[in-house]
Amino acid sequence: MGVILEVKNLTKKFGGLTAVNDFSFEIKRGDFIGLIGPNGAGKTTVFNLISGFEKPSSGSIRFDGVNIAGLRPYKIVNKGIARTFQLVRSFKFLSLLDNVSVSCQSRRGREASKGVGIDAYASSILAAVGLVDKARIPPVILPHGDLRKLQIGKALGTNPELLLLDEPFSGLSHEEQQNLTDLILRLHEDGLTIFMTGHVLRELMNLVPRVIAMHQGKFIMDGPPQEVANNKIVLEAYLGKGSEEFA
Amino acid sequence: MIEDILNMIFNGTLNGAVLSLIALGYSLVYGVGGIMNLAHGAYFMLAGYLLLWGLPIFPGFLFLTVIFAVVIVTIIGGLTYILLIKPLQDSHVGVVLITFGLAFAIEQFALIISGTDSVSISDYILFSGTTEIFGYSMANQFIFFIIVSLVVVSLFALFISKSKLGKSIRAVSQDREAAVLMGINANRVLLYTVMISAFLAALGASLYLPGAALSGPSMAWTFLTSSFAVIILGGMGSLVGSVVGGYIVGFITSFTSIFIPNGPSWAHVVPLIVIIIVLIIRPQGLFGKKEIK
Amino acid sequence: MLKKEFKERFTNFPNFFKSWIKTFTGGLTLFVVLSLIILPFLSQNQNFTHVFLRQFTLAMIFSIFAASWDLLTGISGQISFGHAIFFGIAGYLCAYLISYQNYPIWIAIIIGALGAVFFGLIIGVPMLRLKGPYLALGTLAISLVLLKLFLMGSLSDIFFGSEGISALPKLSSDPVVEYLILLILMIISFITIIQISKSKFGTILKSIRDDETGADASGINTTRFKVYAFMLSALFAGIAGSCYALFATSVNPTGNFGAVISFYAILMASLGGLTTIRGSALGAFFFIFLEYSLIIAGVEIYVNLIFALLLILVVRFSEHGILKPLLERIKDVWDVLLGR
Repeated sequence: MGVILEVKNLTKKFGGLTAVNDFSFEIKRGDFIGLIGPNGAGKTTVFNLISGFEKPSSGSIRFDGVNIAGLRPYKIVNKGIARTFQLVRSFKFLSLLDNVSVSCQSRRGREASKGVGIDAYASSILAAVGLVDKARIPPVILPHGDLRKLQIGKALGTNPELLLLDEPFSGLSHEEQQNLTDLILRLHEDGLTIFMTGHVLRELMNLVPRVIAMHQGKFIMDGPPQEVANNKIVLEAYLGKGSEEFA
Repeated sequence: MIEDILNMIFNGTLNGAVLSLIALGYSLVYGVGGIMNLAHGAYFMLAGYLLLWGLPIFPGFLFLTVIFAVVIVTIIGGLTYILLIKPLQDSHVGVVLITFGLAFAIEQFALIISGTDSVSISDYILFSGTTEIFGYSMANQFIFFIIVSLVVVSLFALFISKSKLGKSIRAVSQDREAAVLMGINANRVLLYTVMISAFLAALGASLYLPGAALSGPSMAWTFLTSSFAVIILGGMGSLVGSVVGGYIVGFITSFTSIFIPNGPSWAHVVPLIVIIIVLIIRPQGLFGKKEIK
Repeated sequence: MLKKEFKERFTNFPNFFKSWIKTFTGGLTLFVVLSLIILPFLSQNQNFTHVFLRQFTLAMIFSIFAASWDLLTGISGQISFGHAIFFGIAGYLCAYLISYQNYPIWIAIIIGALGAVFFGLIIGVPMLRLKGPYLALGTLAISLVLLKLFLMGSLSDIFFGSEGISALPKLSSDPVVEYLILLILMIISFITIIQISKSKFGTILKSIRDDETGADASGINTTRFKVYAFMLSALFAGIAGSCYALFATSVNPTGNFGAVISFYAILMASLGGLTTIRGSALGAFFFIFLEYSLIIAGVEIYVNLIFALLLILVVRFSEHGILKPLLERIKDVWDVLLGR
């Protein structure tokens, strides 16, 4: 039960714009944490930095004690961090099974699927996310909720220890959200460390035991949802100044 | 030795003048629409060949032929956009394939009519004769061309920053959706952009090729390759980059030609070496960013 | 992992074959292959064997070439406009080894192909930073520069100048044997390429094509696989290039490195439908015979122009190539005939 992810003084500048500013936090193994902040707060940038899709301007990111800042995405995946994307992506012309089997061919995925074979392993993942009956279908005709599940399935194919979920609930119907929530809770119970972003607060706050809040690239606070929801600065960030009255 | 240096400087500037005009149009179309128009080199070549074929048409009034050649190529640019590029704008592979096909078609067309031999179109020279500096002779037509090229680039810079169309072009290149929301007809802007690029190529051809001669329809590919090296060096989508890059590549080529043993042979390889070196050292080029500046 | 898959397929093969023949594609392919096997024995006529049959042989060489392109561009999504590089390098290397070093034909062919693979590696590494149209243009640039190097200036003398190397032996002095050799090569190449595309490895290539960032996020070293794709594609292009050198009995810069060669690969694969490897064969045959007809009709000079226009039309109006819709029509008729 140690620290699995340690982020220190993480900063990212795009030209004149500082998207992430001296951001620090820690995640322990088995945690289930939400990252909140209004649109443009820098949440996706933080995810991009952790998963290797952006290089930090300064600061460090340590996974299991090893510095992963600036490594290429596939290397970070093979250390044990997988992510989903805000804008759903998939391999359009491949079946769902093949979509997942690609991740199963990563180094970690291969190790995990050694006994049963890649297709069997990919099938079991599809079953875990509730998509196995659609295994032969390509993603084009799937509803949005299923696509989000597919993304999680693809991430799971790499046998991650830490799962980063970027706005997994956006664009989902209430029922789909419920479905997805159940899946995520199950994954956490099975031992996965989960780090999730969202900017619609209600479903996030009811789900996670701990929340990190950010605004304009900066860390605001880290604590249980109730406390964060009542925090003055957080409220100002979301609703503008003078909104403490709503607390 | 002095002569060699003067030679290098003059030819370097001349190459730069040509390359910057061609690369400017090429880079413009990429920056605004994300389109790689592989037929761009063919526009340049076609303008030259149109001048050749037009010789017997207006014998006393060659300037009319020049106007026709430039107009025709500009229109072809427009048609390329309307008929070939726009319908395929969702498919990157498709646009590349189809403009490649077009470039080939134009090359073959010129080949059928005029074959592969070098031809001179010196009838179109506006300023014949040479000027001497320190014992080195420079063709007046080329001096004229260099001046025109610099003037055109400057006018273009003004156009892009001040004119209404120029601003629309910049808007679309930065953020197409936002531009559309502001009421800009992105489709129309793209059309004009392609036509402007074809115009620049044709203009350059009409003033440069009379002094240089047509070296065969395959020159379309030579100039395309060189423009590509220029925009990789200058940075994809950067207009400043294509001009600066044009002169740099121009100078490297003339330096290689004159000072390196077996120079002229190695000069052919320069664009490729530029591409590879830039890709390895600094892939975004000198001014690389997907914005028009 | 690969071994297990192989074993499975191997033991499964007889059943697989039986059910495959019953499908439309399977049946049609078998029919075509059988016809091709029988063809050379249909006539003893000199004109038939030395001229007409050789067109088929040429088509088979280009089928392999087009399929190699489809593997790189259609399956792996790496657009190559300079495929002539691999074709030409292999041809020249093969020619050089035979003419100047007295290597036996088959060793020369293999080394030629390996030379192309080596080029696939050294070109792949810098070029793969480019994506989409940039890669297309980059590969085109390389092929054009290579052409120039071989063709012009004093450097070209090292590379045998514009004359190239001639008086090469043929694969066989008997055109029927030559035909059959190429038929076997073509069948082996196609089976291999199709199996590659259907394998787990092929799935990775397709994932890179469909969403490279997504593949990266799935833990795949995309650069490594792109280089593999280049090298594999170069291998088959190289086999085709070596065979072509021996078919034409000579190599020269324009004939083996020209941009037209790259263009042909693109056209043939596009005609047949991108990503359907089999389509490349159809495209190649269609192309060679159309060219042949035009030459006979005396309009040789227009051949490339017509093909360029054909490419434009195909890309503009039918992304699946013209042959696939055509096949689908035939398939519909087939279904009707079988009462489905």
